[in-house]
Amino acid sequence: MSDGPLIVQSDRTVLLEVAHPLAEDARHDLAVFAELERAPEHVHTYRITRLGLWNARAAGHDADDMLGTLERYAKFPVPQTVAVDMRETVGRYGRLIVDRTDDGALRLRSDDMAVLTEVAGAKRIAPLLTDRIDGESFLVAAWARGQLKQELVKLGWPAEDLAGYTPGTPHPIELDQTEWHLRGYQQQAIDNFFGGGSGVVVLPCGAGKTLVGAGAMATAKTTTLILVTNTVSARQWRDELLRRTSLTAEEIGEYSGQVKEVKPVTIATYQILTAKRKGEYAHLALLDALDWGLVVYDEVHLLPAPVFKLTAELQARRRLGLTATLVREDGREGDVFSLIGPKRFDAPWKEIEAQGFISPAACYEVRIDLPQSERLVYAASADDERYRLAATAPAKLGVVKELVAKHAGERILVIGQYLDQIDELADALRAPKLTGATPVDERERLFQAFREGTTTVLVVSKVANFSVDLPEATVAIQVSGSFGSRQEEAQRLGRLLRPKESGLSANFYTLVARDTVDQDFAQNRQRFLAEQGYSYTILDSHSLAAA
Amino acid sequence: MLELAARLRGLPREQLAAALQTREFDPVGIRDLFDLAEALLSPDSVDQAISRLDRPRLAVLAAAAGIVGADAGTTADEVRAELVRLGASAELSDAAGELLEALSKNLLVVEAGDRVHVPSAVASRLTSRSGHEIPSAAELAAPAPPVLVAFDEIDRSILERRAAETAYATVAATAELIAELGTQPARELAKGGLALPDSKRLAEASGTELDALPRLFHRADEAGLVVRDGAFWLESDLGAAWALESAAGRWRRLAECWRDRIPPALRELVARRSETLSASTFRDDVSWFYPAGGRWLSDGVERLVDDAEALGLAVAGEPVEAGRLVLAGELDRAAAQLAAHFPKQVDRVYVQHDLSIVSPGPLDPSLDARLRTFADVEGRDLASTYRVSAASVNRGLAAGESAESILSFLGALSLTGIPQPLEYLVAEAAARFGSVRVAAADEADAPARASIRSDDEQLIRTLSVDQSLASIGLRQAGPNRLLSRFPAEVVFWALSDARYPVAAEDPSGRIVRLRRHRLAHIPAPAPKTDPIAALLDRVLEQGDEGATELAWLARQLEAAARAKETLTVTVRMPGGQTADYLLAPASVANGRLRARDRKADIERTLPLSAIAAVTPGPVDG
Repeated sequence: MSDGPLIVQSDRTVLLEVAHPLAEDARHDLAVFAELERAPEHVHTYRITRLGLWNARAAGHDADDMLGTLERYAKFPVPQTVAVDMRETVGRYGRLIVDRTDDGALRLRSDDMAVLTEVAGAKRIAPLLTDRIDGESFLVAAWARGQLKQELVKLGWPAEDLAGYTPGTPHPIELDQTEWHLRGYQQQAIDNFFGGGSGVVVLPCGAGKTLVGAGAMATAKTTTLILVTNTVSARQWRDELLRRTSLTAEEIGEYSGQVKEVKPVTIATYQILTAKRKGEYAHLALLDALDWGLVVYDEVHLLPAPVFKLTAELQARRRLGLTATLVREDGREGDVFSLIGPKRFDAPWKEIEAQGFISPAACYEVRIDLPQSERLVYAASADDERYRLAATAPAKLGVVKELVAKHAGERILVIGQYLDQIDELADALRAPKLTGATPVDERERLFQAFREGTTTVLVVSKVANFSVDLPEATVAIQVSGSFGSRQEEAQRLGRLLRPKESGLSANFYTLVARDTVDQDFAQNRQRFLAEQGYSYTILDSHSLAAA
Repeated sequence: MLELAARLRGLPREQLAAALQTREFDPVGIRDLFDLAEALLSPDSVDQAISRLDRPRLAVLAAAAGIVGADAGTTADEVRAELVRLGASAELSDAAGELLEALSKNLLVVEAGDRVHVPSAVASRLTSRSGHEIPSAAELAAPAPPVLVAFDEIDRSILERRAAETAYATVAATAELIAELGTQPARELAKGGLALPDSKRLAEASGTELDALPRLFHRADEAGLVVRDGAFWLESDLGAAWALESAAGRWRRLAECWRDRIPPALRELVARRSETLSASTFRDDVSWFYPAGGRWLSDGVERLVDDAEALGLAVAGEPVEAGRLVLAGELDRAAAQLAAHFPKQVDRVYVQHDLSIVSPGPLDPSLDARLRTFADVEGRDLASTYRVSAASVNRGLAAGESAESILSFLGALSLTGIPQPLEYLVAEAAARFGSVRVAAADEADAPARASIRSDDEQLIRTLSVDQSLASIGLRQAGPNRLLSRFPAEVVFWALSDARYPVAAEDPSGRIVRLRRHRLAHIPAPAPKTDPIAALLDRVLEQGDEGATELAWLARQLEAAARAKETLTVTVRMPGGQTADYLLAPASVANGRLRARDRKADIERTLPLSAIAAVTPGPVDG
């Protein structure tokens, strides 16, 4: 037994000691079948899941390979229960196959009668099978491919999906790499995605997920539907595609509340897809408007629940999910994997930072003492009022001013949750504000002014949480947020992570009222970033000058 | 029955009590020693006693019962000869005397001088079960069959590894169980067993399934690692010391306790077999060794085997090398052998920015114990994770740590220094610790039961208006003081949960550490009455010996009449001679016996005072 960098635990987690000389090699081999769960600075945690094992098996790795990796790098003997379980789990893959009959109908088949009987009789699977073809196979309802696979996974009998993908209507798309190149990890993500067929790519904010999408499009060379979170984001995608690919403006359409264009590459908002008129999804036809060969889901962690179901019907098409933070407070990450595809690529944020592709960022939690009068009001208030009271404490205003002064000349985002607080901050700082009520054109104008430096301080609401390309922002001051949302915290930090031409590193401040629920929520919010290796230095508001 | 009754009468009280402890019988309705003898000879009681006999004892009993005419009594030599005739080994036949003595202590035979009498009830029970439920006398006397040496290709190293893994997991789970009890005791229900919330908590802490917790707990109890105080279970001093030993040392203690539960002869038997894997199992061995074994045996064997598996002494019912060594008494060697497969201990940890501490392997027990004083255990496995929080630091401060001692300890322990957020947390907690103090209220403050004080008047005012503390009804009693009608512990935890830097203090102002749940002062259960002692009080005769003898005689005759037994009655004749009559007593009244003379076939009436002795008559053929 080697004194290796991995500790394999009986609960199927695997700890990786980052400082170990063999850590890199171990990580590379381990990532084939184990999922990275968290990556704080010294010890990363991976988890061996059934889905991970099955995906590895589908990619051609057998149980011996995977166990060999563990045994090669493990510090202590691999628990026998883990080894036995892994073999048993891997052994379940491939007993069932989803493919097509000669006339193109979807089919579920197996030469293991016991397994086939078990799954065909399962309550949630039987309705998805339309007819028995013969002793070894069933016809599957055309719309049910995704759901069938999902239910089979839940039952513990994953199906190998050989039904193939609709190639879609071919459309020429090339990357224009005359002045730039895909980075190594971006190419890796694209290769992994195509190798797996469909799935999710997780990359830190600022690491260039849009380019991964563009690269996937250039590989597929087919009509593409891109789903995004809002109109600003749609326009950013459009601009990026025009800049980086051979696509022209005539080939890219926007499908949103304002515009309804269907083109070979169409960028639609989630909102429009789930908009209902008289109880019906009014724009569902978009999904069949063209024979899409690729569907890209931007910010897939925000996939609205109704789109899950609609997505089930896109199973015959390649689906690429892009996100920085696959963490949902509703716990439905598993559904994303089931319906879009498993994680195909995931890189720790700090690793991308170490390669120089995202900006280092220092995070600070500034603790602010509530003055006695505010403390008494807080203490005397009911539970449901406390967060707002703490989050919008007037004492925070002075701290914001101090921080803005400290970083004078840099591009600063001041981010808040509550509109009256945003108004107050904008007035006090004499800075423009940007909220949901700001028209799209005005938003774009303000962002452009910020990029150019004519505006150096922007006060924004949660509309700026995501999909806003502000490369030169170097300071973010988070005054309040959506309670304990980890994903929001990470997305807000993400606004700062594009590499800076200025060479300045980024600073992220979160202002917290001490000894209140604000502090409790902050702890939860910071969890994701802490698990990515970010450390929050804690400062007292009265000692900011010295910090 | 009469011989047994006489035997019971002849035993000193302590010996009789000890003998009765080995038997099961229904004490209801027992008024005297005859009733007791009858109860001991009931089929159920005899079966129960037989089921607990090991093979040598059962062989001797069967041999003695099989001797023709043994109802009138036999001798140890005759039993010995019978054993030889049945094919017993020299070892067994030589031990016949000792074994008969043991059977006598069990009240299954009656020894009087060199005579040995097997009560007919015992002999007839044996006979009726012999050959089908119990092996025959010849089979019982036969030596143990040779061990089958099967040639197998099982890779023993896999078994040894599996055994070591299981053993380590058991030791670790037991350590967590004890640590959790050290933090918070567990309540024993009046009907027995732990309260369900405590069971769940202990199962979770030890990483055990809920239905496996009782065995884990009992093992810890049998090893003396936990102790009961009133209605609560706590970590014992022995447990606290045990927790600081190495994994090998901890395992050794558990293995020793396991071994001590096995009868020595059985240990040797199993040790013989475990030279190699064989076709039969431990359970078969035990069944061979206790041929009449019943429910008690299977339950006991199940527990022994389960515990052996849990301790890595057996895998799938078969002993492994460590098991063989333990059975042979070589505990140190067994511990060393298993421990060679245990994960190596570490003495440094990673301290991370998110306030988690990860030990990349089992942490040295003394370091682990110290770390737990101010950090919470979050995950326990080969690597353990701890987390530091304001509450956990406060716990450490209350236990006597300071910011300096905590940071100094962590600094030496950490492979990676101390991150700023952790340093900040510890410093802040220490600076504020005890700025609010909770203590039991003075009598003068009654009906208030808790008093809260702080030098910070603003803090007191804040506490008094804090809605989250409304349930404990704080009222201000001066600029620096609050009172509550709730007990100090309740107030303490309410303030702690509301994030106030509270410390509990005693009347002298010294900070004391409060546990989340106090021991309730429930009186220990009243000692149960010893049913055997109560029985003996009832049945043993007191008073004048002459009258007692006559009464004894009368009772013997009455018992014989009830049992329709024939007695040889020795009668004093005029002139000083005696004559023996073979009589079947019919009744005893007014100091006279009325009986049927079996030989003369007439009815006789005799004064009890003329009867010199009675002995059992020959059993009707």
